Amino acid sequence: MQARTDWDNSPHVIRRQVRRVLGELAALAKDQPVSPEPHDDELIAWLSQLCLLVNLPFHYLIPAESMLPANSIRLFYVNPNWLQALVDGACSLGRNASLDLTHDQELIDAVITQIGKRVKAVRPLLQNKTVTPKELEDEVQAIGGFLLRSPLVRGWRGLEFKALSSQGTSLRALRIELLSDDVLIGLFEGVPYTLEMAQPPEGFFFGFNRINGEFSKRLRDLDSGELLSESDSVEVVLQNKDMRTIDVYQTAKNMETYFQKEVTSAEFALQMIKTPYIGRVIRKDE
Amino acid sequence: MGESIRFSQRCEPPLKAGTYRIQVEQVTSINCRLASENTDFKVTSERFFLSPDQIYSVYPPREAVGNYAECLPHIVLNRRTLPWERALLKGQSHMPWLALLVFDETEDIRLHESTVGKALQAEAGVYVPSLLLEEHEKPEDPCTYVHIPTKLLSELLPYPEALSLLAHGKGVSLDRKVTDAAVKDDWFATVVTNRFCLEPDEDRQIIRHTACLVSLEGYETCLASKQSRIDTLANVHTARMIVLANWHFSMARRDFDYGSAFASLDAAMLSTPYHGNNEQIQRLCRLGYYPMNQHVRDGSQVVSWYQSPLVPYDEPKKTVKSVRFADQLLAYDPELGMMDIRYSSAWQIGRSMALSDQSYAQKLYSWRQSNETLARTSVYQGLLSMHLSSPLHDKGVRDWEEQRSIGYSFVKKARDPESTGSQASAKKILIEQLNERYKTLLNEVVSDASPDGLG
Repeated sequence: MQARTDWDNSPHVIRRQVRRVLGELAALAKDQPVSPEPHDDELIAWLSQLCLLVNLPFHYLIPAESMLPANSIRLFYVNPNWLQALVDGACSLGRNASLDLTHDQELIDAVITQIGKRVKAVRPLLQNKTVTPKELEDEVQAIGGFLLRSPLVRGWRGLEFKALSSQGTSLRALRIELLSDDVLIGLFEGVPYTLEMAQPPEGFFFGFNRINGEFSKRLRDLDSGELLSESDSVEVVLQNKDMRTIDVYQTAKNMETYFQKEVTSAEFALQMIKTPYIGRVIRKDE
Repeated sequence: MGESIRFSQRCEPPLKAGTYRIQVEQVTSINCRLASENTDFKVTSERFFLSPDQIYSVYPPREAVGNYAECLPHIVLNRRTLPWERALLKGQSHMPWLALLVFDETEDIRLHESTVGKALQAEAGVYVPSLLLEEHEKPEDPCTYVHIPTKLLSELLPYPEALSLLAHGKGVSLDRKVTDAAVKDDWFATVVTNRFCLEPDEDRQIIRHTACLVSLEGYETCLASKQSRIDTLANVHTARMIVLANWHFSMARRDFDYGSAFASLDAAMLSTPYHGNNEQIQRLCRLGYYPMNQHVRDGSQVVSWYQSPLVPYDEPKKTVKSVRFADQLLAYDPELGMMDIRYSSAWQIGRSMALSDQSYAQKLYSWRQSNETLARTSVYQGLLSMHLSSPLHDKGVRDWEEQRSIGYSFVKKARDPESTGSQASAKKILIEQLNERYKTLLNEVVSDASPDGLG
């Protein structure tokens, strides 16, 4: 405390000197490489989570339900100034003496630059992946994303998202998380113009074609997984029509005869899955 | 994105459930016998109850209503080895010990949520799997079972060669998915049923279906051959099966699948819907502003405009400025006579979130503290070295003139050879002040300069 009152009484020149030194410190901190280790710089790690709006109360994101009605998807930009105010608020704890404010004013820009690099590591670390320091060299310039509210979120766990910029390049995902049972947020490095939303492959389901009581399945190439032509179908054998059961073994035997190759449950699964559906949201600017 | 899937026939664990013995024997060339050593151990896995986090997903979705006429329901399990952890029949290790059975509402199949003890209790006319409890399994543990008419079961239950085809492993990439704390592995196990669903005759009608993942332990004789199945179930009318997972869905004529759910999505940029005619409000709403009640400092209440961090336009980045309190970030629109509270709200929630995390707050404090100490120390040390190394003649002092450093004036005054009496006392005071400062400074450096967290 002695040092603090001391500071407040110190002449203007010394204060200016200290401010200059803090400025130099900030310049150093700004260019410092960011460590991808989760426990290395916990302050920056905490703040970069904050900048991905993790744990931010939902009504701060969507103040009114009408902005995100049921069955809707909304694209957005993330306002960088909002994030800066958020970070400054989070750094304002214990900002009591004028020295503290001087310190924060000099360093906040460096902190935000560091966060801009560190945010790229948040998602890989959540996925237990390693991040190389090289990936974190550059600062994220802009963040864009989407909010999805749909029964798709609940019903199809593991949805896959791919965002493309206006030039068609694929954007790095910074955060894809559930906010509730049926609301999902996606944040990307850059501004998504096209959003591809694919059915989760682990949830691909077994299907067949049923035309006039005839059950059949169009086959796929065993190596590439591509669908073969319409005529390359096999009969899906019923075991008991009234019981609605399928004779899986005979159906697999039919496939074996077609391919002249042993069909195990892996090949059988490949043959039986329904062609997955990819949904695409494309932004058209007027 | 479909190219990222891999299938495997099965994912057998290195050791199936059972009791194992390790026997160690030493054979030496010297003339003595060493005692051999035995250790028994058991490999077990859950067989009466599956915790819900083992179930990754199901299809058709839980409680979904839609047309699933051309699909075979399935369940995806988190642990890839789960369906192959128990070997039921000799020489059939590729056969899963789980099967997925689907019933429609006309079959009136009811689930009983009970305990392990009750599930294994014998009952007249009911085939009950005869299983012995392991040491760690207690009769009061929860267990769900189902009663199935034997006539139905003997039709539904697949034989080993079909069962093997109805389970497979799936490997996918987690790169583009929601980060999910429960999912650490990108391989899953899938169990499929061999029965498709009952389609309603009318448009309005829906038929509820129940899907059960059942354990086949205790049903070995029903699987071995057709004859032994008939023999086993000859004298009973009902069979009891242990259910590890279950869910319901309903068949209807209307589609509810991925495609139709996706097509019904309404896509737009995020903004506030507004149907009035006020042009100014319309403009603000289009930018995503939303009117909010605000309690201002003097206690009165006004309406102000809030904007979420998610905006429908590209907001240019401004230079950041640290402030003392949130109100410094309020913006007033004199034309509208209303306030823009977006940044002050952001600042305030950032502060509140930081306050709620004590360890963060402590780290922030020590970080700032150490930076300040560092800065002050270096300034004072610069001063000190300047003071000590300054040559007696004025030339050296003049060298520092350009720097306009604080030391310059101090040193100049302190070393002024032309000093008169009053100046001499001024010099004395100055040196005293300086010494005082160094003293506090050095104390401070000793007490709180720690290198941790610098920079």
